[in-house]
Amino acid sequence: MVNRSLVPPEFKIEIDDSKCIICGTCVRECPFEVFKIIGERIEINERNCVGCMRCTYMCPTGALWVSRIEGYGKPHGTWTYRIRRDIWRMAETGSAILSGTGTDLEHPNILDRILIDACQVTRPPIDPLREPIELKTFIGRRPPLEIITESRINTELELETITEAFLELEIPVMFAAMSYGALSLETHKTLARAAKILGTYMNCGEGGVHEEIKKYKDNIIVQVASGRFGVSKEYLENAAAVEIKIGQGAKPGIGGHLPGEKVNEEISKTRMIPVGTDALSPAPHHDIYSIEDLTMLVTAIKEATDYRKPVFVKIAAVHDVAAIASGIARSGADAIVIDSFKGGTAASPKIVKDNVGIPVELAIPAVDDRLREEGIREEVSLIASGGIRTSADVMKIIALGADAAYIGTAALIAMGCHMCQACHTGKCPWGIATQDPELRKRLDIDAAVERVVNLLNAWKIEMKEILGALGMDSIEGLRSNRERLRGFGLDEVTLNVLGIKPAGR
Amino acid sequence: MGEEKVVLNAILLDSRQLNDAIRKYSMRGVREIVVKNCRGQRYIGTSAKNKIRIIIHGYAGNDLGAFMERCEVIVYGNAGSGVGNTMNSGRIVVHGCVGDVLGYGMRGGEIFVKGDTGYRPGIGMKGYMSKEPVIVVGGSVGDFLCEYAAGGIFILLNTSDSKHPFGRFVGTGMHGGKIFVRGEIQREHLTSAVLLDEPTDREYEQIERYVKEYMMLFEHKGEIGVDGEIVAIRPKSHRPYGELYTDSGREAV
Repeated sequence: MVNRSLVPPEFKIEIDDSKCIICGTCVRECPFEVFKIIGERIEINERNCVGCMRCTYMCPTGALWVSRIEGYGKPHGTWTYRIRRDIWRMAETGSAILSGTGTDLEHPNILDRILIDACQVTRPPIDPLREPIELKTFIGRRPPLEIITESRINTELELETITEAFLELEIPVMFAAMSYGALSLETHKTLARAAKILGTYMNCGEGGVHEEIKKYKDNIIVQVASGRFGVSKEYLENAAAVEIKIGQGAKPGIGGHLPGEKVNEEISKTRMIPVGTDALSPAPHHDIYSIEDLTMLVTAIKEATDYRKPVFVKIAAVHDVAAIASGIARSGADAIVIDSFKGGTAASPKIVKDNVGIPVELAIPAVDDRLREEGIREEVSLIASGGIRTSADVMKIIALGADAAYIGTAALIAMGCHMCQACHTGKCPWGIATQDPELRKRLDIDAAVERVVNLLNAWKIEMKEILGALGMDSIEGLRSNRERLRGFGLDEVTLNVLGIKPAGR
Repeated sequence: MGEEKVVLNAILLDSRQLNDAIRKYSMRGVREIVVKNCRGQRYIGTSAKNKIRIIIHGYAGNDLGAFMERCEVIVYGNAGSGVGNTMNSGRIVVHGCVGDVLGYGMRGGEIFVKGDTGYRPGIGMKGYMSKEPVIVVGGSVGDFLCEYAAGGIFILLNTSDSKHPFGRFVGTGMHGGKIFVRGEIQREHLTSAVLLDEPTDREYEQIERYVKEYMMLFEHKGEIGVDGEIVAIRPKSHRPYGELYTDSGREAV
């Protein structure tokens, strides 16, 4: 029997006794039961601390501080603190380690190694304060099919334009699939309302759409995953677009799993499964084993929705992503979503997040090149997802070949997420990734909507500034415009994959 | 009101043309559509807008009745793979055999198959509230029966009394619903997620009802003995993955 845990605490909690008034706020605020009032003092169980900073934020006298324990014992380059902790944890439980959000490992970030061009002298920049700069983006097949037919009435030729279903975005950023179940209803509502205000879309994820956000249907993209939770004709019809989830960057090739503890009365309604049952999305769609099979699901969804909704196909960025995307482009899908291995999740095995998949900044140019070579780039839109943190990331990924980007974590951070990675526990101290009725109250929807809208409005200003500097009056002109990017400190092979020159050339 | 019944000759129609026609007629209030010379057109029933009956003569292609609501589809012939894919309600009756992935993610309604089915039947079936999808198969089925099933009833009648009514890997990850099999079964093919049991009296009544329905639909000659001949295969847990993962670094709270 494993008796006493070897896993050390990750955080150090200090209480300034001269400021602490023993009000018990920290005790109430911490869902992980770190604090306890014993007589005239507060007892701390640091082992339970996830580093969410909720107690520090709420402490009325500023008496509390949580800091990460940077070292525990002798430092070691190979057997790092992180590795040692994980080994102890698994040795004590015999279970794989699960955690929330994207990988926290410091993988190199290629987007940070890419720099954007600007106009000087020979081509003047555009002043965004004076001239309109367009961020409007269309998602879907383009250009529309144009068929020239001879008129039946006279001898003149007629031009018939066939437009397929598409989405119109006021900003090339949408909210990525995050399910109700992983997130609280308040968080889902926040995203839906923000999407409507911003003129963009929120993806409801695979957990279905709650009654209370159905009114935002024109700004909702619904997802069809392998578990087919909540999927019905009504669900498909009450949406702006439908996304088939094949994979997710944080867990490529791994199915989804909402633990039975989280499946309460409300969740059970939207997922359409009994209370307390594990909501399992198997790794594959059992009806999809080939591009031909994918074509069938795409077409079945189009048949069910009278060809009025664009259909997206979301895949994780993996090694042969270009070949897969080429197949998807031929399946009849209107957009391909490519999700980085840095993408977030409410729960994924840590080992998978850290080690499986490739960065989206390498996948997007590879896919863009491949589709162009094959002459089918205009038949689909490309949406980059996973680890998109700033407006500069959005612009760089568009210049590398994407049409738009999905953000998930960035929007949650805007609402108050502190990246404690405890989403999978269902006890989100900030009321975002939880179903606990008390914790849910912590997210003030009106304030959260304002924060998310503010963030994207700020991004709009930044994007217009940069576009102006580039001498461009429209984001469309930036798409796949890799001449306007330069690599900074990147090796030749990476530059080659990115299709950009090094800075100085 | 438009016509009550429409006959479509599908010989020269592709899937989309056929489904466009079904969509159009169903919106006009037609009650019954007869599809003659069906030759593998897909997604039949998916585009229907109202409660109608579609009678198909020939071979119905893949994804028959995918996402279907309320309609009744009767096939005089065989059907392809993906019959009843994510179907929500209604009924599909196939007077023949069907391909793989029968009733994938099906949430409601009934499917009757006279003959055999291919691999992966009943995968991810789900029951919820008043909805309990039912699949009745007269013959035998392939591997992966009811994998990841979360609800519903799968009745395997094995009318030909085969010694191998189902294939390998029965009920991987199954965490809801039930399978009833008539006659002998191969225990070695049951996965660790399921256990063998006897149907309850109430379940026997239910099974008998569906057997009668099957015999009536397919004008089955002779008896399909049920008493004492049915085994029930049930999931062991609603939480098959409860023990697989731990959270990192903290004591359980």
